[in-house]
Amino acid sequence: MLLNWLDSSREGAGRRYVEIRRRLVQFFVCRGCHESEQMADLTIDRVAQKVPRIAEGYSGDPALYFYGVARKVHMEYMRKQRSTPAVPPPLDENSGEDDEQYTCLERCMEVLTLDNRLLVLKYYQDDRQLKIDHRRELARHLDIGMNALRLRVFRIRAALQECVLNCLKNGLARNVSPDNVIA
Amino acid sequence: MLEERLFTSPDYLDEMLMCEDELIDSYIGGSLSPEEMEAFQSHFLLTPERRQKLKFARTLKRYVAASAAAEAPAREAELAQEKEVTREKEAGWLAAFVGRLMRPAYYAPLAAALLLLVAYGSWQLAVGWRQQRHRTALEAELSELNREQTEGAPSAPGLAAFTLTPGLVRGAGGSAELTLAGDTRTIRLRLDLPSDDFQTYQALLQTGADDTGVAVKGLRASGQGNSRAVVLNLPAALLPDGEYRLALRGTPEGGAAEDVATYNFRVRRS
Repeated sequence: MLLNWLDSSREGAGRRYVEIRRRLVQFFVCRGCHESEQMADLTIDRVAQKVPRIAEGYSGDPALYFYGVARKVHMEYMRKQRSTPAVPPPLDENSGEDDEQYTCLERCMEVLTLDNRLLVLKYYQDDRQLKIDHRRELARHLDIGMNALRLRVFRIRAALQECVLNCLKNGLARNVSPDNVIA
Repeated sequence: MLEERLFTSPDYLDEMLMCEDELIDSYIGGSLSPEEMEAFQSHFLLTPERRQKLKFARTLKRYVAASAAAEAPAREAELAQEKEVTREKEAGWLAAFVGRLMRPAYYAPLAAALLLLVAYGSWQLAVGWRQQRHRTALEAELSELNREQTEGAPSAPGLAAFTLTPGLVRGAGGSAELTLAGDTRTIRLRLDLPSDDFQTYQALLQTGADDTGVAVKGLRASGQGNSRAVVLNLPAALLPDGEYRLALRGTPEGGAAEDVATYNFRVRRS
């Protein structure tokens, strides 16, 4: 029922669901919630329960309905926080996980296409003014604008991070799949 | 409202996440102010998602630095080659040739060539200096010989006198020659002038092999009426048997020297 409400086609509905979930997670992250993924899922569950009643009479972008429900979920979270505040763990600057993460990143980098690998390396090398000059040169070389370059690298980086997280979950890069990265 | 845009604008989420990545990179790169660092740690890093992003950003930075360090020697070699090509293009083939000579492999042959060059140069300098000294001494001797010019008949022992007209040798028949006795020490040449228009004259004797010749300056014309001539005394030792050419130039008062006449002759000892 929920998917039908989001889009008439199955594929379109799936895409829309993933997109809205990403936005919900980011909404809760921005509001400083420690369990943003669970809260996003809780929001979706609540909307799914209400869809049979509201779908027919609702007009406009369904994403905004999710936003309204997410705000209520967050208010409940805040009330709960006031009685039992969640303390964030201390910042662990040098944990043993770093080496595992590095190994995973090495393997995820290998799965990238050569062009994307070189792009990431060049984009992040050097510091300050040298870095800015370098990026300008890179954009000129690729014949794209600076913002397009920024977006391109952001997407590769996001895919790399997802690949590294999967790698860590599955235990030291045993299952680094090209599906996890932009090839 | 910004939050609402997160759900309505298709690009807003990506833009927000990009900004977060950049904020994290600035934190790692140490480019945040102390107040921003404090706010970053106490507010931004509250959620596990952002902590994980921070960890990932650190790992990525480490990876990029390691890759750059591994590629540095190759990149330096590539840059050096690029620079050399650019330099060659800019400076042209001559500079490129000199640039190649500056490589260590060429040091020994280059040093040897330089040594040879220095030795040859020194020898040339010594020869030139000796020639110049010889010329200076000779010109001083000629100047002394011609200080007091007399047109009269040769009376001094060892003096042989001849009269030369421009382009010709006054002698027997067509043979243009000055025949010297064995004891001749000084040759006196009376150089007939086509006209006497100059205050002083300069005689340049070209002795054949040495094209630079020997110059005698400060000569004056003498004689009466149309028979004006310049008298030139030369040491006989200066003129071994052979062909000679003598150029006479005149200098007007306050003016530049001009060609006056040329005299050709041959010397032969009896």
